[in-house]
Amino acid sequence: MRRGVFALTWFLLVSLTLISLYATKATLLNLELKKQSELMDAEELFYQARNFEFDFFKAVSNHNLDEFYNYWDTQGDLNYGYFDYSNLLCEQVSFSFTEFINNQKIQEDSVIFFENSLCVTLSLEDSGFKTFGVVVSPICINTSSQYFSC
Amino acid sequence: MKGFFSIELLFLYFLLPNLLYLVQPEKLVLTREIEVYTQDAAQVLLYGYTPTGTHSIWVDLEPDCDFEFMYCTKRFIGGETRICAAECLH
Repeated sequence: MRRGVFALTWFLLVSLTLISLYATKATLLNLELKKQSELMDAEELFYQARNFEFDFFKAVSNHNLDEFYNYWDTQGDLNYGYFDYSNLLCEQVSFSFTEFINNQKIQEDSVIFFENSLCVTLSLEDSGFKTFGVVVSPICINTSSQYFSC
Repeated sequence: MKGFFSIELLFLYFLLPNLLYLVQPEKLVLTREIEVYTQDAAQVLLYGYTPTGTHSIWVDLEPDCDFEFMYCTKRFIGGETRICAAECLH
């Protein structure tokens, strides 16, 4: 063998091995980061759905239903109306959101009741994940409690 | 090929120390930790309390320190509120 061929071969073997290791590591890291990013998007949806009901209670208590509707209507598909227990569907109404909610509520001192079949639903979808925020009567809101629980 | 072996040694000198980079575990735990902390802090703020901890939190503000990873989320607190958290490096 000519002089230097072994050195050249050894150099190519070592360098190409290291380069392939780098490429493998970079690929695995990118895949893992992509997976983590998708999981975080799903968690964002989870928290939105979880807080939808609390925000509704807060809006009813603080009389800012317009702000509630304007905000959540941009986050997902917001529907409101009467809840059909036989078909388990939220039948939409043509009234404005504020008018519909205010017509349904019964207030006694610091407590607000929704006895009739009211429903407010929010369909959320992002990055392939889907979930729902749901508020269905009967509902009792204690406006003097920080968590609005009766 | 005189001098070729020394060139090869030079290449290996730069390539071999990066083996330490290859064997280091990834800091992926950091992203999950910051994200979970941010979501918890956002819930605490939503319920009207003040979150505590070693991480820095910015509510509708731009960050004012150096960090490795920052996570932001939003809540409806009187209006759309952007809540970010990170662990400042200094």
